[in-house]
This record gives sequence, C-alpha cells and structure tokens, in this order.
Amino acid sequence: MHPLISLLIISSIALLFGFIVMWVSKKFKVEGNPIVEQINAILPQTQCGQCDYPGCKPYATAIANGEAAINQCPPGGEEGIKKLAELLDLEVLELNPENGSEETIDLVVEVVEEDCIGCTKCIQVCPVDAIIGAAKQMHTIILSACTGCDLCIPACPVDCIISIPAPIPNTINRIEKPQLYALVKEAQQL
Amino acid sequence: MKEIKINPNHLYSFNGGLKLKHHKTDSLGKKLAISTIPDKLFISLRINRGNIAKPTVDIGDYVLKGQVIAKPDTDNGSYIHASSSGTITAICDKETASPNADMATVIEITTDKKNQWIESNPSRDIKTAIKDAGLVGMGGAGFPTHLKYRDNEISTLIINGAECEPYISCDEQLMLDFPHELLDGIILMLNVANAKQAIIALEDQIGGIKTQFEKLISDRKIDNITVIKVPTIYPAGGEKQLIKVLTGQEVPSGGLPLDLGLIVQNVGTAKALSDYYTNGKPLVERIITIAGDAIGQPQNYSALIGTPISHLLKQAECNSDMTDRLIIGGPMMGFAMPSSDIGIDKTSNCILALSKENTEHHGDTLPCIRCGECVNVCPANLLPQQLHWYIKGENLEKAREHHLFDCIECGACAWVCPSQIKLVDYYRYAKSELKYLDFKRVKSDESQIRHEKREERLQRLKDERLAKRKRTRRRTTDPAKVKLDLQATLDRVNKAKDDKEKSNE
Amino acid sequence: MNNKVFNTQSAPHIPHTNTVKKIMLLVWLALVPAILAHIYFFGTGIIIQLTISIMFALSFEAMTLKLLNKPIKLFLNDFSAIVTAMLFALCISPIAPWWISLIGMFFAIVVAKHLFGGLGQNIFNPAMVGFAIVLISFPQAMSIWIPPHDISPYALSFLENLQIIFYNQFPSLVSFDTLTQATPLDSIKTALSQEYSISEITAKPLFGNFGGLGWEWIANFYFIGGIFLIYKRVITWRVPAAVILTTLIISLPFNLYNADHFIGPLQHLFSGGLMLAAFFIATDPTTGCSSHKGQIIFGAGVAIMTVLVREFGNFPDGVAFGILIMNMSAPLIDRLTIPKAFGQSDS
Repeated sequence: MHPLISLLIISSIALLFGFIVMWVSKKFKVEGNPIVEQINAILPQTQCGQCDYPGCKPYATAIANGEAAINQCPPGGEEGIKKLAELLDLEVLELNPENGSEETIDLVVEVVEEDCIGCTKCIQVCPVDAIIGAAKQMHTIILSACTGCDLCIPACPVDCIISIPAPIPNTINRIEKPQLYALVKEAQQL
Repeated sequence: MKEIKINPNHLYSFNGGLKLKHHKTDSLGKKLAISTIPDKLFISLRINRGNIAKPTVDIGDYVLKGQVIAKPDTDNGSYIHASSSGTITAICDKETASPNADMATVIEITTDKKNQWIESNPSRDIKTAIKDAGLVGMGGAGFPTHLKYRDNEISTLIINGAECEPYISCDEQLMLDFPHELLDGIILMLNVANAKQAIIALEDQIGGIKTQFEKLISDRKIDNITVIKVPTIYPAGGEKQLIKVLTGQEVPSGGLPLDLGLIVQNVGTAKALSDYYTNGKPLVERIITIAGDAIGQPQNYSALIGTPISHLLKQAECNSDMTDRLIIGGPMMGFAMPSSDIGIDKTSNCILALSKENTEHHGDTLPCIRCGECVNVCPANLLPQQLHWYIKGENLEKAREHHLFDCIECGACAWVCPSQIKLVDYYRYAKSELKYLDFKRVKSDESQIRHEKREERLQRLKDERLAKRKRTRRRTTDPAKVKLDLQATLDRVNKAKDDKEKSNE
Repeated sequence: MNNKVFNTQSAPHIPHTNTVKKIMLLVWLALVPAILAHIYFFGTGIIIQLTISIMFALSFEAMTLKLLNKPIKLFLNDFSAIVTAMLFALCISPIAPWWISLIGMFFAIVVAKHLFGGLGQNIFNPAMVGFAIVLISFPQAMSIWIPPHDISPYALSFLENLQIIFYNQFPSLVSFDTLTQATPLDSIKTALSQEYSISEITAKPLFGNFGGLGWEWIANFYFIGGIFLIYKRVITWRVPAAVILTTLIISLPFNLYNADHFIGPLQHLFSGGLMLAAFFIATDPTTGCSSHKGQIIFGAGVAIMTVLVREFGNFPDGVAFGILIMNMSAPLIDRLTIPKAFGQSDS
C-alpha cells in the first residue's frame, strides 16, 4: 500500500480516538475533586496540623495536587500511609519523623479545673468545638468529641490542660495479637 | 415466617464438625453433690458483652440470700442477686471468670453460713419473672433471657440439652435429677413465647434420659413437647448448628434464631425459671462439673454463684501440684485461669484441672502449610486458613470480607491444625481490633462533621461581618450625604448637650 | 492452692496428634511401592538419585535457614524438603548426571520455597520449579533414559550407575545408543513428527499394554499410594478425581477424531508423570486451592494443560507446566470460589 495512504489512515484513527476521549471527559466530568474526598475519608480527622497543613481537608487537597507526600500524618500512622499508598498507587513510605511520631494509645485532653481562668482562648482554637465554656465561666472538654489534636494545650495561658488516655466503652475490649512461632522470634534476636 | 417442620426421623447435618472423646463417664456415675458454703463469695458484676452492672448495696450492708445487689444500667443486662446471706466486705476490681481473666467490678460477700433466704413475691407475669430472676443463658453465652421474649411469632421452642464439649456433664446431671422442674420451666417458657411446640434436644451418646423424659411427658399428659436425639458431633450444641440439624434452616448471618421463629434455651435456664416462678428463688446457684485428670473425685456439684474455684477444687480433691492448667469451661472453648481465687459466675459450666501431659502440644507451632483440614471441619463454612493468612498480614478488612464475624470460635480448626497454630486467638484478636477500628471510624466521622460545621459557622460569622462593613461603607461613600450625615450627627450631639445643661440647671 | 499461678494458654486445651512431620512421613510411605517398582524396572539408578537429591535438598535448606536466621532444627524436622527431593528425583532420569539434582534442588529449595517465604508461603510447587528449570535448560541431559529391564539389552549394575551419574562414564562394552532410550512419550512425539501412526508406534515392545512398559506399573503404584493417602485424610479426593476424569474427558474426543495421531485416554493416564502429579503434586495444599470448588477447577486445569501440551506442544510431557500455570492461577480461583458462609444463603 502507498505509505501516504497508511499514514492517512493511522492519523485519522488517532484523531477519531482523540475526539472520543475529549467527548467522554466532558460528558462524564465530575464536579469537584472526588479524589480529595477519598483521601479525606482515609485521614483520621484529628485536625491537629502536624502535617503542616491547617486541617485534614487542606492536607488531602495538597496530596491530590501532588504538593504533599503521603507520610506526613502521625495520627493516621503506618496504617494510614498504607491505605493512601493503595488508593493513589504510590510507594509506601515511612512516617516522616519531622511531622511527629505515632502515638501508641489514643489520647484526649482534660481541663484541670482548679487552674482554669475562663479566658476562652482554648475554645477559640479547638477545631472540632469540643470545649464548652464562656468568658469567666468554667471550661470543660467533651471527651467523646475530643480528637487529641493538642492545639488547645499551647493556647492555654495558665497551662491547665493535660493529656489523658481516651475513654473507650466497656463493650470494646482490645486483645493482643498472638505471637507467631516463638522460636523464630528468638532466633532473630540472637 | 416460614413454617418449621421438625421430623425426628429426618435430621439434617451441618458442614464439618469433629468427633471427640467424651470423657464424661467419670463425672456422671455419681450423685449430684451439694457444695458447702464458702467463707467468701466473689460475685462478678460483668453482664452481657462487657457491660458492668451498678451495685445497689454498699460496703458493710447485710444482705439476705436472693437479695438484688446490682442492677444493669441498660436493658441489655440482667439483675445480680446475693448467693447467700452475709455482709458485703468489698466492692472492687478483681479478676473474673472470663477470657484473659479480665478485671471487672466484683462484690465480695463474707457469708454468715446461715443461708437465709429473702422473702420474695415472684410476679405472675412470666416475662417480668424472667427479668426479676436475673436469668441469663446458662449454656455459656450469658445472653439476658428476657430479651429473647419479644413480640415475635415463635413457632418452636428448642431446649438445648446437647452438651457437645468433652468432660462437661452438668446439663445431663440436671436432666437426670430435676426432670419435673425442667418440664415446669419448659411449660412456662412455652406460655410466655406463645409457641406451639417445644423440643428437647439430646446427644445420642446419652443413655436413658430420653425414655425417662418421654415417660414423664406422657404421665403428665403433655402433647406438645418431644424429645429428639441429635448425632454427637462437636459442636452440635451450638445454637446455630443445632437449629440447622433439627430444621435444616440456617440462621441468617448477623441475625438471631428469632428471625426464623425459634427460641433456643439451655436446660439450666429452664429449670432456673421454674425455681423462681414456683418457689421464689432467683438465679443464685448452678450445677458445675469439676473434672480433669488432676481431680481426685470428678463430679457434678451444685454450687453458689460466686463460689471461689479453690473452694470447689478442695471438695473435689484436686491435686494442685499435678495441675498445669485450670480451665473454666470445656477443653475446646474454655479459658485458662491464672489463679484459683476467682469466683464462678452464672455461665461457668465446668472447671477442668488438667495435667501437663494432657495439655502439652505435640510439637512446636509451625507456619501454616495450607493443608485445608481446617476448611473441612469448620461448622460455619468458613475458610479458616484464609482468615489466618489475612489476619497475620494485618489485612483485617479482607478477613471481614471472608465472613470473620460468622465465626463461632468453637476451636475445631485449631484442634485439627497439624502446625498447631492457635487459630482462635487470631480470630478473637481480629474481631476485637475491627470493633475498635469501627469505633474509631465512627468517632472520626463525627469529628469531620463537627469540624465542617465549625468551619461553616466561622465562615458565616466572617460573611456577616463583611456584609455589615459593606453596608456601613456604602452609606459613607456619597460626599454630599456624608456631609448631611455629619451635620445631622453634630446637631444631635449639640442638642443632647443643651438638654443636659438645661436639666442640670 | 490459693497462691499458685497457673499456666494460661488459650483453647483448645487438648491438642490433636496430627503434625506436619506425620503428614510428610505418610506421603513418603505412599511413595515407597512406586519407588520399589521403579527399581525393579529401571535398576538401582533411582536410589542414587533419591539419595543425592535428598542430601542436596537438606543442605540447601539448612544453609538458607541459617542465612535467614530461622531455627534450623525446627524446619528440617518437618521433612517437607525430603518430600520435595523425592518428587523431583522421581521425575528425572535414573541416570541423569549429579549436577542436574544440584541445580534442580537449588532452584526448588532456595528459590521456589525460601525466597517466596518458606514453608507454607510458596506460590509454586518447588519440585516442579526445579524440574521445569532443568528440563528447559538441559534438554539433552534430561532426555537420556534407559529402557525397562524386560527389553533392555544390558542391565546396569549399581557401580556402573554411579559411574554414569558422577563421572559421565558409560560402560565400555556397550555403546551409548544401545544403552539409552527415550521415554515412551518422547518416542511418540519424535515418531509422530516423522509421520508414523500411533498404532505403528505402539506396536513396538517399548509400549506395554498401555502407557509404556514399566511406566504403567509405576503409575499403578502411584495410584495405590494416592488412594492410601486419601484414606488417611492426608490429601483431598477432589484434586485427583478432577485430574483423572478431565484427562479422560479431554483426550477422548481427540482420540476418536484421529486415533492414528492422538493416543487414547487410558494411555494418557498411565504414561508420563500424570499419576504422580494427580496424587502427589497437584494435591500439594500450599500451592493449590483452599476451597472445595477451587480444588476441582485446579485439578481440571492441570489435566487440560497436560493433554494439550502432550498433543500439540513441543515437550513430550506437559505435567510440570500444567502444574506451574495452575499454581499461578490458584489465588485467583480461590478469590472467585469463596464458599457461602453459614447463614449467608439468603443474602
């Protein structure tokens, strides 16, 4: 066949597929960025800012835009990094130590009531509105709503907020993972 | 609701199961022994699913036998009564007869050996009577019995006398010694459930009880209770497996026997109901088997709830040097206790004292060789080796997809495993971890909503402030108007000053 | 009594007496009749092959375990390496050079078993991986077999076997060509390509009643050993049943269509490594499927691949490849055949 004819045929097929792709992308366009929602659903919603972004949604947006790495979230931990890697088809990385370290138990905060001066500074910074109180009135933390982000601790001018282990209902009883064949562990420590 | 037809000559079977050595003859050959009253009773306040009942007495109170000492704060629990008369000497956290010997609130009663009953007036409404008696499922699960009797249509009541675990013979002893009370209890339950018929299920290795019961039933002219023998395969005594064997139907995953129009009750629960309704005695004692090769006199004992294990072991002549493991429950599903200072509770059906020879593993634990024996014996039709694979690799969601929560933790898979892997431990770990992760997920969803609402609120406040500023700015952009406004303001101020001077004069 | 602290382990508290070692020993036992038949028909070469394979397998296993910091005694004692070595030795020629075993065992134990995670974690059957690699890499060394003693012009003694295997020195009295002969399946393939018909080929004394003289007896003993294992509940009945039935079903149409070009179903069944694979290799639980439906599909797949390679492929026997391809598909088949759990029938 004349080479020009084959060239023509191939280019017209390419053009045709190009038009199909353009049409499909316009027709099935989704509003907003669904990937951001999916990433946000994986993040632990602590709103602590340890990732260097002001909240989980901004961090999710940054990941979606490729501006942030997936290993900047200490509350999400290793499990969260794995899930993000699976979602976005990226490499699983180690948690970046500059952003913090993974906590072994869940923490919330509590106001030491003897020292509270009722200044409302902590109420203003809580990202999930978990502190009840008003000016010159006692401030209290709603333990079930607190995410343990610790943003209120530096905000308090009299240092009266402390971290305590998060209350877990009696119906949830965490059991330890059984050890694999113990001899292997011993051998690996030798 | 489908009509359930149960034909004694045509029984079904469930997948898998094991044939185990029975070990029951040692404890059954003798009469039922009555345990002496111990010096101290440790009554655990742990009720269904980790909830703890709230004590209604204080330290120093004197209580009578059968007096309520704790009430549940949700409907998902049962009353707890004092098992003997005495003084409350402590209410504190202590180890209880549960997996891992978990700590829970325990009321300690120092008995006065008088064993004085409280006066009681049992309600004539059977459902209230069940609740007041503090009845729970005495076959091991401890589900509050009054929750089983709702307003669903019930066609059949199944009385579970099929004790499938080796060594345990307390139900059989009960059926031999208290057949009348058992039948009374069954009739009461038929009444409150409004069911058409009741079936007593026995294992076919049990001798003599079927004929005895059938004679009693015909003597008392009852026409809606039948006795059926089911094949002795572990775990035929499991509620769902028993229903499958008798009716051929499977309880839907995540559902209850109520969905099929059935209620399953242990024989002990039925007798306890009759005790309360007829004699006013709430659930304060139960029959418990003490067995094992380290026991000198294996026997069934009628013991008070809260009796320390050590008290029962002494009566059964336990050789403590020989005992390597002390187990509450049977050898397949029981939990090993770290010490004998723990009080039995309403669901403890057996205490086993086993020596090292009987519990030693034949070889060390190896990795799973994927032989598939576990798949062959699982009564819930699961793939235990896949569950183990995924849980080992921390892929808990995959394990959930493989129906992890349908596992009844019977231990059949761990028993056949040639690599001697403790499979049930993996499943219990995964279930607890998934429940915890679900709880965290709910919490994080709530946090997200709170955060978004807060952001909306702050945005709204900001918008309002911006709009207000725009309004004031609009008013002050026209120079002529500004001048007029300014003049108006000055006039107003001057007038106010003049008024003030006039009033001062 | 009150102060004693007891041992707290979890249920079940009465352990079963089944161990991995027991399973492997039973498999070993089931192979003994076939090995004895092998010695009867083909001489003592197989004993030497078995010995060196087992030695190489154990050494490679010990070495790898040491390098991976795993307990050596624990894993050597479970005898799984020995079974791998035995299956490999039964697939290769009785006079194959010693380095075939070395290379085969290296790939089987070190690469196919331990590099994939060790006992219970490997995807591919180690014996088949070793066999496939030496088959493809050293076709000539793998195709020199000896004829069964009934028709052999010369019976090799034990020492002569040793000389051939270790020194590649053939007895000077007999020529190489007289001594060696291809396997029945190999002969069929070569002869078919030379346009002989099946009936002409199988008229030769190399082919016994069905499947090749000597070979058919060994296949019989594999069958008996396999039934013994099914009775002892070491292997499942589903995989061998699927393999055998599918072989018969798939090869029958070809045979009916052109009996001159395609061998019959029974000949397929009793020649080559099909019986060995059906009962001992395809039933390997680590590399097969867990669900019951999956096991049947797995067995059927092995049989289809084997028959197709035998009829249309370049290699005389397709069992190794059939097994390896189904090993690859096993996880997918497992995903698709998850059984309905108790109580799921309505959903």
